[in-house]
Amino acid sequence: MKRAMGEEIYEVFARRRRGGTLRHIGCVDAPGEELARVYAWSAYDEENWFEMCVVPRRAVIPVNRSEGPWGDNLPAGGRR
Amino acid sequence: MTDARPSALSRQILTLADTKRLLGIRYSDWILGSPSIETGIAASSMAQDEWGHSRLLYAMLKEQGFDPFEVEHTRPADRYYSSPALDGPFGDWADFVAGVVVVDGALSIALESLADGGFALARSRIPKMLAEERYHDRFGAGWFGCLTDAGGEAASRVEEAVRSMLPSTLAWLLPDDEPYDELVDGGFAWPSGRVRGLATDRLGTVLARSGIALADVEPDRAGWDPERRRGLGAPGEEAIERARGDRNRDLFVE
Repeated sequence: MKRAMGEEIYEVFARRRRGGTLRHIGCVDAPGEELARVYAWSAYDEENWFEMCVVPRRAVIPVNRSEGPWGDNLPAGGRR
Repeated sequence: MTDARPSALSRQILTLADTKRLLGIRYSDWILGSPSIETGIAASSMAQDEWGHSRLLYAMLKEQGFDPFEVEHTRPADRYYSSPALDGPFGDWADFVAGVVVVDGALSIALESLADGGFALARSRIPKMLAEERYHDRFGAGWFGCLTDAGGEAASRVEEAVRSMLPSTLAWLLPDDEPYDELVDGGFAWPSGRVRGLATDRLGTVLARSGIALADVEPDRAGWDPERRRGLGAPGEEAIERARGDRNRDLFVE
């Protein structure tokens, strides 16, 4: 899908309570960190989250995936 | 309500409530048709915030001797105290972004001023509104930066939209009249100089990205109506029908 104005994908994580598990709850397309925060907050407001954070998908380091959205992050010539 | 002349405090509450109600309507026009799904969701969230805040503000009028239901649901357009920048719909996305930065930004400053004064209901209820407004500020600053940095038509349109809203919004934010002086003297609002200083600090920093010097912009007080605390004109009839809930009138429940 084409992204406008230099948008990229941000993964959204949140935990319900202090000490609770930080869970992946979705993702947003945003042109920068500031708007990624706003979009995540308005799109995933179904809970009174104790903590929410966003991570650019490009910053996620693949461990065992060789296909799917993270496949492109493998170094050139890496095992597919 | 329609025949009573509101006190300085009631006038301040009314102008905040009406401006939030109209801003919510203008935001809601962009829930569909905004640049992305995420911006549409944010527009929806901000529209609902504004309506929730306006209801809380209207409810504060009860203590001032008004019937909040009557105030919310019966007034004609020319009895609205809202900021003139919201009289018409946002024509394009640049208008929307300018509205978030200029009008919503000014509203937050006016709310902060009221919450810092001697009106107990404002002191207890407004801080939560201001916490929610932080996301509106971030949205506005983020999008203003995107359009400005994009250059070309995007940058010139958003600058034009801001410049068209600023003079009337500054007049709305900084009333130069007796009821406002009375409000300040009563300890219910900050003096204009302090409000202007915060506006220059907060909005001015965002707007400087497009070369707009807020300190150089003069408020446009042409046709100032001290009762409605605003300049000439009134919101469009279609928006007021929605604000009053005319089409739901048979369904109202208390």
